Amino acid sequence: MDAARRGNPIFIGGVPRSGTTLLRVILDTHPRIHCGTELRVVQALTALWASADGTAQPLLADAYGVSPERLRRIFADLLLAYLRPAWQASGKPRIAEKTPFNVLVFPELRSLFPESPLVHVIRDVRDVVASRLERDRAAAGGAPVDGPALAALRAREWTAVMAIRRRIRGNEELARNYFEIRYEALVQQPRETLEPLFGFLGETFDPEVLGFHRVARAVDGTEEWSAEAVRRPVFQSSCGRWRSSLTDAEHAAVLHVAGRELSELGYASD
Amino acid sequence: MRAIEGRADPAVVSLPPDPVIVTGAPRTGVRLLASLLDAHPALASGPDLPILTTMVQQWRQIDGELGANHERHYGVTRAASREAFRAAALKLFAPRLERAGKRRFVVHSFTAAVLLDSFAALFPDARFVLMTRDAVDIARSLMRCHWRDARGEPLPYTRDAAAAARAAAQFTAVAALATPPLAAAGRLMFLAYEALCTDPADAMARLGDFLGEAPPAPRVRAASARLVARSPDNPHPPLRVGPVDSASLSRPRDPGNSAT
Repeated sequence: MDAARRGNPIFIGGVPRSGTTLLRVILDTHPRIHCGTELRVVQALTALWASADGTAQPLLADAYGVSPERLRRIFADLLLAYLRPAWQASGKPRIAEKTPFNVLVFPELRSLFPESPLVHVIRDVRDVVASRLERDRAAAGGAPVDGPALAALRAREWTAVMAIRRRIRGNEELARNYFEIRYEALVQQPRETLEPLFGFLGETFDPEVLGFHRVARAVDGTEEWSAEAVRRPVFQSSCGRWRSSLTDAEHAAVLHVAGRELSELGYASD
Repeated sequence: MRAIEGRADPAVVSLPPDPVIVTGAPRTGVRLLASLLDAHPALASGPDLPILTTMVQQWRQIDGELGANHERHYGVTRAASREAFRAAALKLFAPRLERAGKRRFVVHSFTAAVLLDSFAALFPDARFVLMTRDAVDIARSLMRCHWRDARGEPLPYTRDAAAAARAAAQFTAVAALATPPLAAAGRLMFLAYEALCTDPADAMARLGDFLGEAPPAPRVRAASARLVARSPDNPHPPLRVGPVDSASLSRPRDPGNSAT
């Protein structure tokens, strides 16, 4: 771990309902890391930079004298402007930003913040879909929902993220400073799972981080669906919840879309 | 090794002042005026930079949808959010100003006309020049353009007279909605293309007063014409080099030799 990596923000992402909020409060409990509620600008600002770096860069360099590195610093400073006040107020030396769909711009973030650690939380697609359908049904307010169709849609979101994962893992530069963590491992063997993560981040694992639920912190149910869940200690009951939540048709729809990748990730397709 | 980004505030760098923004419907003399201003000893312009409009829109969206959340949980005030975007935009112009030895940048953008309130909010000290022109002449001029969309298809308002007239009217109507508060605050000047062409010395004198600068010379210089006319999307013909005069009003548009 070098000083440059330590001085850059940590970005956390994953498909929604994968355990990103759990990881955020764990990191936030660490004495050296601040990780607040979802900022929700990383995707937009990174895409904005990618657009400037792509289509506008030749013009910017030639007619405006803005070099690619200068452009990168301009947009990195723009994003840091949103992180800096909370970072400074926390008094901690490091900051992490968790918004699930950060994962969609991990390749671009690698270029915008070359030394930033990128942490991807992965969960069994069936549990992800079961959890998302629960939210979708609540949002529908009792209106009929086409479960299998919605399950397939949510599974496609998961496979889209897995396509980004493949791209990252297949590219040495993109894979640099990239770390994956499984939700199931996190809740079943938290210490064994977190020690390598903190090692990757260049920090020492502190057992106190598992007392995250005892720490009063800003959580907002309107902005983080798992706000209530992270007021309890780590629990395992959400692993395999799909068995009681998904109908056979919904389960089949998920496997049709994501079964192959589910197997590739080592999840048993029972 | 890349530099550490860090949590400390970035080193304070002097930013240029808020820009002068020249806007209006296409074919109203926006690029012509930007080119004249680029030749001014204190002012510099450049090719249209669409990413600037995207930045303005992105700031507005973040401010509207997330501003309250950022204030509450991240200590990022609405003013700080605006300042972050403003600084990022101004940093894009700074090297061009440094290279030219000038102090004030002139943005020229057609799309700014329909986002006047957003541009004005992001750049609270910016001055706006809204170019106007007889709508029938705008439509006629559009019909002589050869602009194409990203797929290479001719833009409808360059092929259909009614579409051209609608485009001219809509541009003007949307821009007009945002003009009263800006004009009342002394931040906006209307400049008619016809006035610029028939009495350029008077137009430049009024413009100089408005901007607090010496009057620009009413003459297109070759270097400015080449730079300002460059476009990342549509291939604009080069501006006519030389003095601005009333001949521009009646001159048939020649793709290789046009004043606007």
